[in-house]
Amino acid sequence: MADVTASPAEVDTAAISDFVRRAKDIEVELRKVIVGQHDAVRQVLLALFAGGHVLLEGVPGLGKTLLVRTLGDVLSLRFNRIQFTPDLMPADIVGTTIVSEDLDGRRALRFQAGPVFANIVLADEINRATPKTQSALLEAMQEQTVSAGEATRPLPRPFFVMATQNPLEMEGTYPLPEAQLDRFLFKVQVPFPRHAELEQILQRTIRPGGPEATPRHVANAEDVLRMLRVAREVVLAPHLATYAVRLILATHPNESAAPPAIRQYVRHGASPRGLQALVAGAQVRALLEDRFNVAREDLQAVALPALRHRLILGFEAQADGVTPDRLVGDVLSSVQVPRP
Amino acid sequence: MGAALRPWERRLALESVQRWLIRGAIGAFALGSLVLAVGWVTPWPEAELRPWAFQAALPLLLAAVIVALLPTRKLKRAANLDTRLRFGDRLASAWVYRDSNQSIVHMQRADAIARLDKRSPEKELVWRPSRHETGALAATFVIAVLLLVTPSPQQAVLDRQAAEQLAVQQTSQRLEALRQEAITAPSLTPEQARRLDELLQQAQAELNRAHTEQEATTILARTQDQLGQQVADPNAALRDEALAAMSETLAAEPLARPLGDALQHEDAQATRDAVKALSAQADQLSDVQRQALSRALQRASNVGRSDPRSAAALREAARSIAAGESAQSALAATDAALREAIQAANAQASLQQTTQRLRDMSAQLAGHMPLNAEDAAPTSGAGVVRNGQPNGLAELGTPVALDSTAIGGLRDPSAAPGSGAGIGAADPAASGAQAAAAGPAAENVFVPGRAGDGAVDQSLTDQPFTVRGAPRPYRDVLNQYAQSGRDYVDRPDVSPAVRDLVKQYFQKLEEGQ
Repeated sequence: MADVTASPAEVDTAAISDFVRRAKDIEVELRKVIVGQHDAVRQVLLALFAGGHVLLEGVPGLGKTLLVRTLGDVLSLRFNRIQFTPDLMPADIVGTTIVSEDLDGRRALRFQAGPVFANIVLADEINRATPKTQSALLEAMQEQTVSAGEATRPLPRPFFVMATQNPLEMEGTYPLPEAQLDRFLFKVQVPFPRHAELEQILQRTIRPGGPEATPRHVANAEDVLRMLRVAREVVLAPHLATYAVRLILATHPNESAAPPAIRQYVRHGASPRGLQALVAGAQVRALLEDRFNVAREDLQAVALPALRHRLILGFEAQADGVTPDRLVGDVLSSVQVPRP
Repeated sequence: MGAALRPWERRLALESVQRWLIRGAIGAFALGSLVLAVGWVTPWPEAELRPWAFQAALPLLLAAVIVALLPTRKLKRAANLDTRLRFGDRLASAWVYRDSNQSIVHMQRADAIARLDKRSPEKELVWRPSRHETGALAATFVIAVLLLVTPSPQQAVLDRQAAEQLAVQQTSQRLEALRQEAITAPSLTPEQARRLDELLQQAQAELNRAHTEQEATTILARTQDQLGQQVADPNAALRDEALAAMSETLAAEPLARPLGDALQHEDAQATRDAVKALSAQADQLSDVQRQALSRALQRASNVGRSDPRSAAALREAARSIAAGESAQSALAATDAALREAIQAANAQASLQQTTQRLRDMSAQLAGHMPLNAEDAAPTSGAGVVRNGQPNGLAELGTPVALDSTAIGGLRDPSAAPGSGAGIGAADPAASGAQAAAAGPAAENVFVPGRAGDGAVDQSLTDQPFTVRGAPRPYRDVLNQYAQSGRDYVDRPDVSPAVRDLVKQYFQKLEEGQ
């Protein structure tokens, strides 16, 4: 290790070390506030440092909003929450041009930025807004810019959207189309807490005098942007890149490597974005695991959040109650790591 | 990176050799067992299969070692170590990017090497065969050992085949002895001897190629048929009848009795002497004697017309003697014709003897060598006496005493009193027959027999050593009989008790010779 630190690229080395330290600190601070949900917290961090957005799915009251808010606090980033409702308009998100009058009484058109102009945006119950409104947010997520009037305005960097949706109440909702789902790097399932976790939640929030967890600031926007660049540098061996490609191909029913369940239940497999999400998430996870290279375990660990929302299932899957998670599991079981 | 990996690679190579050795051993035992198992399902000698099993197994083991020593790529070994040490693909990644100068690659490589340095190949790479491999090795080993030490169920078949092969081989040797003996028989013409020699040589060659008793029996049967068809005289029966009738007729006339006796014995020299004596006496005979002699010769000519030449010669001699002419030339012609007939009869007898011995060989080969009295009689050549009545076709007695009441067992001649004991019975009234139809024991008496009054239920084919008109002292044939008997009882399917009984019997006979 000594000769490594003395290498010419000392700055980059420091950045890498800094990434590992800060990422772990961030995770620690988040865990101070969020009880349980270890996988969800980890996956949100992976998506954040991979530069992607997250779709959180879980019933109300599981701490999704708290997670996003705490993340904003820990990272010293500007955080906005948008509650999606059926009457929410795109301008309510991206902003609008208004007539304003200055002290001299002169009137002018001024762009009033919407809540999307923040580093971390929580799109709560995104499936309750109309598709038009949804697409306004999704365009901002994809392009990292907002077009209003004749001007195109860049969003602040880093820009991280966490959308939530309730899987139970589907009446009066507008499910996200597959193309828009594909823009989320990860779809994270927020499970119901276990018994011990519920007791801990109770102890923290209801009982008087309970321990209060106040997260400390660990990083700022610049740190996050630097960490984003570092994560991209993590080494990926060719045989593992091949493995990632095989995993993606195995989700396609027409591919010879696809397992039988995929052939039976899947209409369309994961897109190239899925492959990017898989590798990007694996790179971040490798760093969080004190590794500077992607391992097969990293790819396998991020396969579920990266691919579950990218499989378009057929009617037969819904009739048989087959979930995307089970299908991704089948893919992981059937595809072997190629021999180098 | 290479230096850091080297001790681990050496350890991996050692493991590879061990692993492939075990796999090779499993394969070798399995293949060897497979080869040995062939001997359990087919009658294949285990002694032949064992070297083959070894030759099949050894290359497999060597191939396994070669596979183990085949060089593998460094990246593959690094990936293998990653898996074994749970290094999260650190080593494979480090090896792939070993030439990169990126900071993160430096860190990754340093991290991999540092982690590798903290571990020891000897402690981390402790290889043991899997339970499946151990089980397979033990199972194949046990099966191979069992197949090696346990006698094959096909051994009985093999023993039977070996016994058959031995029997065929012995038959071939006997056939060779028979050939040597048969072709030197003086009674055979050179043409007969040549054809007999060819037939027997051909049969022997076929026997040498035969593997089973059935094949050998078929060959011997075919040879018998060929012998009868190609070598034997088709008129032999008529000629024999003629000679017998002539001898009987001549024996009834006192002047011609020596000639009749000589003909009865089918003795060419005695015939010549008798004819010479007649020729010398012919001129000194009275008319009555001449007429009587002429009538006797004429009758003999009449009854012996089945042999035209002899009949014609006798007729001419009868005419000459009756006419008071000199009968020298006629008797000389008679002598020549009769001697030729006797010669032919002796040749035929010799061929019949050869045929009979071939038949005996077939019987021995087929395991039909009888031990009871009725069936043993033909083999022994003894005339079988039933209910005290001599068998009419028995012509040659032997000292083999067969107790007609003790069916199924051979008895010591000395302990075989009573009627019917082992004497080739002839008509006691027959002229010249030295029949001993009854006696205290089997005696060393030779009885040239003739058809008698006894029940004729025994064909010539059942009298293997009985040669019509060719009596032979039993001393001459005892060795042959004894050898045949011993050969037969040496077969594995003959019980030891019977074997000892028969051997003792012949031993006593030979001691008393």
